[in-house]
Amino acid sequence: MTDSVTPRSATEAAAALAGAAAQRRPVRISGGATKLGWGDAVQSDALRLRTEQLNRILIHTHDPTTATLGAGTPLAHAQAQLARSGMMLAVDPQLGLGLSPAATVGGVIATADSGPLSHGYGPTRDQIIGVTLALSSGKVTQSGPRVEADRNGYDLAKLVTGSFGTLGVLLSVEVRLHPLPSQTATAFGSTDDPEVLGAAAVTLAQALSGMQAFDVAWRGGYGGLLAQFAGRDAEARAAAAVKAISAAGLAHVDSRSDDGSTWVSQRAGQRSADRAVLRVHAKRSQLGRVLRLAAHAEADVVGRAALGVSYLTLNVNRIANVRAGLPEGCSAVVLDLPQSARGAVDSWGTPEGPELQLMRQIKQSFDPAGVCNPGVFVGSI
Amino acid sequence: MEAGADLIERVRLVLGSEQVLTDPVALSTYRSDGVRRQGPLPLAVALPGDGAEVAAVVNACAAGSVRWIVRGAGTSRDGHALPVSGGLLIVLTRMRRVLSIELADDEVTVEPGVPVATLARAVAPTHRLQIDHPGTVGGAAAQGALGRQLVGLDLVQDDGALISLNPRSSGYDVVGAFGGSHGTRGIAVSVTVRAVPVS
Amino acid sequence: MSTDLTVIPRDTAIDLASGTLYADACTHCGLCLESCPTYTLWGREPDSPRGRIVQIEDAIATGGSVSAEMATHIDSCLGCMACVTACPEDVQYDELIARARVAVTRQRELTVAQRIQRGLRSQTRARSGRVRALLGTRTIPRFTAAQGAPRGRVGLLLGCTERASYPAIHLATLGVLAAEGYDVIAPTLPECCGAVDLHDGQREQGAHRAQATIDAFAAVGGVDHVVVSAGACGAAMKSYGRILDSAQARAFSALVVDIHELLAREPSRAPLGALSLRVAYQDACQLRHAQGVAEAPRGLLRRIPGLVLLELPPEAGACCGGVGTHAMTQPQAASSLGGRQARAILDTGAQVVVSGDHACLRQLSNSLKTLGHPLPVHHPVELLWRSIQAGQRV
Repeated sequence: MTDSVTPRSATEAAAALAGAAAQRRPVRISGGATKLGWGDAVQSDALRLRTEQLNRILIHTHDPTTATLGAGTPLAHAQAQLARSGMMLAVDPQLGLGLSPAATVGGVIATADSGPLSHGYGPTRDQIIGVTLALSSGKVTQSGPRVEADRNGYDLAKLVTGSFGTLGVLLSVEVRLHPLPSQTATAFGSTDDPEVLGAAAVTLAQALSGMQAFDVAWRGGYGGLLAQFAGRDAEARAAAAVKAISAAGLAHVDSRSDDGSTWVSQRAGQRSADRAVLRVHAKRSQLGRVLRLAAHAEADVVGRAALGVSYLTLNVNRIANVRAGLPEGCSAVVLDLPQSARGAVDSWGTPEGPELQLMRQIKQSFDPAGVCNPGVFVGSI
Repeated sequence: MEAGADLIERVRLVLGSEQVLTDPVALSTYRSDGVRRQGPLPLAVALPGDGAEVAAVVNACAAGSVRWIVRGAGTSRDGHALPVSGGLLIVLTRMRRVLSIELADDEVTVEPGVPVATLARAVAPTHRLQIDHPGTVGGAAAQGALGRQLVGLDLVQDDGALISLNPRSSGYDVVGAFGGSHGTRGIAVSVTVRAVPVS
Repeated sequence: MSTDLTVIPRDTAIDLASGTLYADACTHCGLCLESCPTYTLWGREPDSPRGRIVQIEDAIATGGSVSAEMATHIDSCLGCMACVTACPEDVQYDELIARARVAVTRQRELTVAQRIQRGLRSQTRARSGRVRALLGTRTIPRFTAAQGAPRGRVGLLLGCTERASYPAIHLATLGVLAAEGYDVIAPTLPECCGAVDLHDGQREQGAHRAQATIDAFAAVGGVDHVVVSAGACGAAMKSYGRILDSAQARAFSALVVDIHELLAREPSRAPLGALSLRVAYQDACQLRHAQGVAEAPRGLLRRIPGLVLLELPPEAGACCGGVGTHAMTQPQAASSLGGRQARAILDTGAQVVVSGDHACLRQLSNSLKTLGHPLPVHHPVELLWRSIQAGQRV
């Protein structure tokens, strides 16, 4: 029995998937293997389907604002290629733990992973124009603006983002590109009061317009807001933002144009090799409460201050308390988890109900054989 | 058409007779949409007043195996607001309430029958909607015209079940997939839209 | 006497030829829906301008007869003409609904009792008009001389209800016109301009009163304008040319001008004293949508020092429900619409409400009282007169 397969084309990928389906053998789809611990566990005897050979990068000469990327392309490599024409894909998560930034385009999209740029450019799903997917039926299907929509079908391009590989194997994606900013500068301020920080986030989200990124950080009883501006006038705009940040009640307010390391640190704070990472999604106006819970749980936090997305790095045994203290309607998904704790924590925390039933119906309609990353997703899908 | 007559009776019980139109003269006014196009006469027109009534009507249709088409103001030009022969036309234009305005979160939630123009006025002057559309918010959402501004939905499924999704929900991006589904992926009885602060 | 619905007597059914022509212009875009008071109230297509046009088209396609179902939807139309303002294709909905109303009135199987009632109402209006006309002539002078060098000579329509119930509007109108340099003739006749009859589809009665109005002003000699302070009356009189289709009627209609239109054409001659008032302006539907007069009254009010002019939001709706006989024939709808506008007025924090038609003044006054806030309601010309008088005292 083969343990792994590395298809070199869409046809091969579809055939491998269909073959596994015929044998009722679960398939574990992987790219850079940087997030295999996210979600709940897939069976250990699953066939490993590696996407690393699906790595073509197609620059569209007729339209420099879009490109088609093979799902197995390391995102760092794709960004380097795009940078040659002064463009970027506005998706900037931490690309791996430690020194190996191996995350692939497919893996990032399948997990809807994102970074600070999601403030200025929108979430990962907004960057996807179309997808090509291999289904467990053996069919290769495309979705996007140039493909006529099936009147009774779902828009696959939307469903695939964040689907954790449970609908099929992502083969390639057509993405929106943006110009690489020439310069950046960041203004910042801090406080030791989580409520003050939360309130400042609400105020500044509206007072400071055109920010490329707007992050919160909290560590060891102290935290701050970071407002990044991009473009030729970035430095001036960051300097001008200082006034509003002070007015919002923060201290030690300043700005600087050599801000690279700040944002490297923010992205790094989204992953952990030895503790758990809980991605909390709350309303913007609830940030103060989230930070207070984090402080009690001795968690370090980085996050998107205006979007309500926060990454809490904490000990496994504090997860339950944080979840219990969150306001209703928030989600708290476990991402990184130490090996020893795997299986002991419910990664998703999604309650049973009609929403989950709908998710199961969707899974059923795309992967009736149930072989694509089974067990990894919400409700053990 | 016994199934039809039974269904009309059931829907009358749920909504009250006043909100169920059966006279052909009245039904005829629903045969076209935003262009001069003629569809067939529907079996009847149902005008639910809230999400619970929508769910009950859809449930009745499922039980009676009667097809339905959902419609807002009928200003669309793509044919998706036209009735089907022997089917019920579920019209959402009585559902016009603004349910919540949370400008601190840049979010506003409305019933599907609220005109897009009204929604734009509701969030002004501190915020603006980046959408211009002649119809209802529900119709604009189903056509994909709300684009990335559509962030949450309460949806009545084909079997009458009600699901609730917002930007903080986990699972597949059903809200994203609803945009452009033209009413084939359930009936939105509440729509959450992101408004952009005016700089 | 039952009307055979298959035999369409000439001039009493929906005029097939012109009806088709007017209805064809509608592209079904639906931009009229949100302007329609009954559509926003009930959310139903048959009670919207687009839906009414479809019903008229369907009726024309089957010979021009009007079903009982259709009649209810034609009846519910307020005739406020807000849809005409909203329509991007210039569909002449006013022509369509007028023709439909005539057909509805004729083809409806009227019971004897209903016919008697209708006749009585119409006669009462006429009789009270005569009585009040006599009474009115004591308080409203037939001729008012211009102050200073006269810049023109105008006639003033006294009308029926306005003369009887709101003589203060006429006195203010005379005061303002005189101060602005106009000689004003306010003849006792006509008793009634026929606006309500025409609005209701009572075509014969309306045409009769229209001719009587034209004759009455012909009798008083040359005037530069026929001034009207009631929005509904002005709208009706501007349509005489179309309805009577004679050179004389067209010439008369060309002379008709709303009081605000006339005054807004020139800068104020008389100095305007200050009035420190928060004033909500309500657009009388017949003035704004039927006549297209919206900016003139606002501009005039803004000339008054100290006056703060407040606008109603679009949610207040295009009609207070008091138009025509609606308050009597569609009491529930009228009450809902009046209540909606009254609430919007109270939300503005106004101290006074103004409107360019006395029917609105009555409806708004009742609606505000029902809500427990009986704000004073006035015609804009009354505030202008007060301002002129304040200016004279200085």
